[in-house]
Amino acid sequence: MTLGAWIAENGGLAFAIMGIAVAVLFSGIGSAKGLSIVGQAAAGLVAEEPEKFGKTLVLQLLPGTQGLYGFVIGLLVLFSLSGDISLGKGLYLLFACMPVGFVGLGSAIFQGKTAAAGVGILAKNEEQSTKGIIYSVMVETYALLAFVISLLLFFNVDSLIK
Amino acid sequence: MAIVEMKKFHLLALKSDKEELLRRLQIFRNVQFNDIASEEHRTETYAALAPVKAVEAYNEADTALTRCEYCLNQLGKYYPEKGGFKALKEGLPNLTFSELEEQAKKVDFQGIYEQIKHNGDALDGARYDLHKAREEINELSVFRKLDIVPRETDGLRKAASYIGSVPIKSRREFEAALNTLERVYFELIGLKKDDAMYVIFFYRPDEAAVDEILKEKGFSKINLKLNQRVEDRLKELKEEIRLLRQRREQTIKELGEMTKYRTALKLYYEYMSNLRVRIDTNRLLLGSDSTCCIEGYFPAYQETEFLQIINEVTGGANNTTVEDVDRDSRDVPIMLKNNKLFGIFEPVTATYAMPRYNELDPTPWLAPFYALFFGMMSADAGYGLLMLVLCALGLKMFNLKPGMKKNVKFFLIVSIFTLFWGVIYNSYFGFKLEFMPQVLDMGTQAMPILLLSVAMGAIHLFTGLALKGYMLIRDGHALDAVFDVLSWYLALIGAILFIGGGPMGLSASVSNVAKWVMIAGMALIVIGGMRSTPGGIGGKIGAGMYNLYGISGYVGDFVSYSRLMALGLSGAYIALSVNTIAGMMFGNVFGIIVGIIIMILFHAFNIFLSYLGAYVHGMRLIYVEFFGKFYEGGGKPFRYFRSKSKYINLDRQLEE
Repeated sequence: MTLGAWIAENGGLAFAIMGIAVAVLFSGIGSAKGLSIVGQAAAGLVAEEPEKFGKTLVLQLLPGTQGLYGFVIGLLVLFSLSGDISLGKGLYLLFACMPVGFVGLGSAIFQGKTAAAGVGILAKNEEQSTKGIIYSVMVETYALLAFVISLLLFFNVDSLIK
Repeated sequence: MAIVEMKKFHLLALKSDKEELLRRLQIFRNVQFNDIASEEHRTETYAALAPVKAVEAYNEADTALTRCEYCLNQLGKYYPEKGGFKALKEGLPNLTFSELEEQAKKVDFQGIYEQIKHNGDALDGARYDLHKAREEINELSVFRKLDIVPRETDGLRKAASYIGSVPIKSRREFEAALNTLERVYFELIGLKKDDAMYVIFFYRPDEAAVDEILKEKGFSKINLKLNQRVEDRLKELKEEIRLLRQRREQTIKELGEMTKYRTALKLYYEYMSNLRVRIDTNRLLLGSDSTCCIEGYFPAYQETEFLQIINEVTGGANNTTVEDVDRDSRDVPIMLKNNKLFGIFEPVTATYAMPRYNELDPTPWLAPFYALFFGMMSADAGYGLLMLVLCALGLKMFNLKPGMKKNVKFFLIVSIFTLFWGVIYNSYFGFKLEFMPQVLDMGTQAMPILLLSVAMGAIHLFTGLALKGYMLIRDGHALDAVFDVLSWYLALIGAILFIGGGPMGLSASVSNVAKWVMIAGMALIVIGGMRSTPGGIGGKIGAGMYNLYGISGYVGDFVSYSRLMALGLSGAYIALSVNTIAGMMFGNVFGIIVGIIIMILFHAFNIFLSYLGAYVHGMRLIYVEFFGKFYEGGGKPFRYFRSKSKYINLDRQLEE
């Protein structure tokens, strides 16, 4: 069997799994990085004012959602796997996973930086800390848009491709 | 349901009435003073008056507060107050201002303070002495084996002695060097870290030679000023520590007696901090030898009450004018008044910014949308029901602070909507119940849900535009309403019907009408832009086109509402995966236990995450998309003539 023939026969499944990997990997890495940026900023504050721990946790959690969006897309593709996925469908799924993966990677890191700045608001003026959360959520909009596109691509897979 | 109408007052009264006047106004609460004492505000009207000085009184109140805090801290340090469930249940005592005043006046604060201070000083003293004794033990213990009395060697005629240390690594060299001298005796006493401690005796005439060696080997002298043997001193110190500890225990026990004053101290604290606010107000006033002059705001609906207080206190000896406020002034303080339901959403408005006095209170308009959006983004009937029950229990069982109570009510309301959307989606803790009806299926109907989200967004945006139109017409700018509001309605609705007409199954003639409506709207938008720009025709056309470009902003706004679907779906799929993973565990008893633990933990996490996401993304839709259409904000919140209470709920009925 030539490589080309092998890919034509089994590639669909392999590409679909690669899609799951892309969705979960990149958004997960992004969220981990984002969480760590906020966590480091928050640790400095909590040393001085331990009672603000709860609020720092909210800020820290914000860039965590990208990883979950990637996880959801990965999960959806995982549930739809079967042995006879065509090459075309496998590639389709791979590309469908890319928005949530790549935008998740970037946006989680940037969101983490914004949330870390929000820790500064929390340190100086606790009553205004909700505004720091809002700033950070602005960044997340783009992760959500990517998630929506990945989601719609996934749900439309059967109507678009055999 | 709106911004509370304010009145501005100007009051001239006798100085002798000032204190009682301020006191009564503090009980009245809803009054905010203007700073007429600062240079910029001093007009000719006030030329004959001078700022009032009350520095001493203020410092006195401030000192009392600091002392009161000291007492409470001191008690809290050794006798922490109970926390947890019982404390929540009991909550803070509810008092009215008069009750607080009455009770606080009975407190013999000076007496309590002196006792606690005396006690605290004793504790500080004991701590210092303990520290000193421990330090000394630490220093001396290495010399434990020195069996001479250090001071006694000073009196020797022919011999002299040194005590000191050399680095351990040069110990051998040091001993060898000393051994070269004949009339020297030395002894190693002990080792401490990197140093070896020695005592050295030598014949006085050899002092120079000995010093030479010691200097070379890095010997540093230690002067033990002891008139007794080290061993004895150590014993003495240990006894001293024992006694000090006993004394400390005793003092702490005595402090325990003082915990009975804790409630009194708290009341006194609240009373004094209100008094401090009252005294601080003098900064804002003007006065002369016999008069005082006050200016400020109060809510119009309380005018009779306000004037009655003034007349009661002064017995008619006052000159008061009450005037309407300037609608467009930025200085008018903003108080919001909504009914019990909408009032819960006031913090959402306040977090963005209070409205300006000539705007409108957006709270009743944002509340239904916020709740609906929140529900759609956290949609799960199980989560909603659970949170609903928890919030209801919390309200029923605990005596919460007014602010906290409002928060819990807020989550109670939005949980109802979470429950509602959960039923629509047929999602119960991520499970689909076959016997329940299903309006929309998240598993297959992503596209209809997305369209629903955007449609809800469209209604939201149009409501915002309508509010803008309302404000413009209310303020007599009907023409602006045509160009800034109606034009957008025509253009947007026309565009939606024209572009979406095909898929919606509208006839060609409807589409055609829609097209012309859209074009008419766009033309109005361009003209509106040209109208509001001064300058030449080129600049006007540019401004008009730029105004039309604003349509791209609307596209962004509509797209933004897709988060209503996205967050709901993401939460639902996480719930689903939790159930799937837990389901894999369900094999034997052990697996079932692990599975249940997994479900409890991760559903709790998912509830937290869904609620957090819905909370903040709901705010974003309100602040960016909705407020962007009509709301500026920037009013200053009304500052009540009270201090922020910490240990009690003061007049809580006023704050709820």
